[in-house]
Amino acid sequence: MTPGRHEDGRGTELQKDRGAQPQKGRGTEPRTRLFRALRPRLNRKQIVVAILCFGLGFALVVQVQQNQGDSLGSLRQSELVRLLDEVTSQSAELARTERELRATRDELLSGSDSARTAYEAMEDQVTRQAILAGTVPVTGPGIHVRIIDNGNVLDALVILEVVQELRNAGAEAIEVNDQRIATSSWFIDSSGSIVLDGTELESPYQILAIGDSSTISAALEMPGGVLTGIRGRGASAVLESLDEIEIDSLNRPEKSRFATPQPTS
Amino acid sequence: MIAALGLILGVIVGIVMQPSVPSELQPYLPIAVVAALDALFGGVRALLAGTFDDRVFTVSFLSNVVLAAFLVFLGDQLGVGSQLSTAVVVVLGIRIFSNAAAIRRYVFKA
Repeated sequence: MTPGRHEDGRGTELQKDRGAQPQKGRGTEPRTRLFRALRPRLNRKQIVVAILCFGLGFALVVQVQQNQGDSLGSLRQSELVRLLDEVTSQSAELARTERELRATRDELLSGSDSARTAYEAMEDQVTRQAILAGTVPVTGPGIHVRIIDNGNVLDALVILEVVQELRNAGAEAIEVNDQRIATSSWFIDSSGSIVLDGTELESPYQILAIGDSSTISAALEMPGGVLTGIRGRGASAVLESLDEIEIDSLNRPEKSRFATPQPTS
Repeated sequence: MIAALGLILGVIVGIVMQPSVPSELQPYLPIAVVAALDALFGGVRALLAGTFDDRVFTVSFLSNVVLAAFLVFLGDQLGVGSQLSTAVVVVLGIRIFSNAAAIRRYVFKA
């Protein structure tokens, strides 16, 4: 390893030496030759071989690292083209799947939207029907009519007229003496008193109606109208508009025995 | 001894420097490495047989490397690059195995 052994003079000596070496080692055992070769000697042939081995080790490690670094780098053009084709078709396939899934998702979203809309509409409808049928307590602005009939001059028709007039004027909920008026309500004269849905009504008749109070007042109080008629018969009628009326009485509709809803398509 | 040191030194330098292979050389380097390995095993065998000659080793080493790389290059030009490099690797692999078997016989006498 010392530079001193690297003299030019030894070069020619080694040239001669090289030829002699094989003959010298031929008789000895291979293992002895191996150990002899492992002995550190610095001459030109050792250095040349060492340089080649250095190159081999270097290239080996570089190639191994290159191979681990990126697997695409060592591929041939045709292989790269095939890989690219595969990736392209795969990505097209995935894009197609994505489109399908998006369409399905949109469908489901709009489906749930329309279902919610239908549900809200149905709830709205149920509330309206319940108010109309008189199955729920209601509150709101309206009028209060108090009819005092001490002389018993009024009959069922008069009260029915009042109710009709209220309905015409747009009353949404009507109560007569704590009885809710529904679509099935009926009035009848029975032995001098008025019967509503099987219950006798007694003077004074308290009529509550929820609706636009100005319209209702105008309808009831118009000249020649229903209240004028009542007063003309000798009974007294007082109408007042209220901002807040509570109608708590409920109508309990009987289950319909004959009518069933038509199936909707 | 010096040769083994050179090999180890080459490995260490390669690990430390981590150079990247130029793209023109990339197809040829693996084949060249296999060819050099073949030459190395041949050299060890010759050493054990007592017929080692550094000139023969040098020439066979370099010619093996150059020929292997040239074959791969030729294969690439002909459109049979991958097949030809497989063929070269197979032939060199067989030679490495036979050389290794000879070395084993010399060292272990079995």
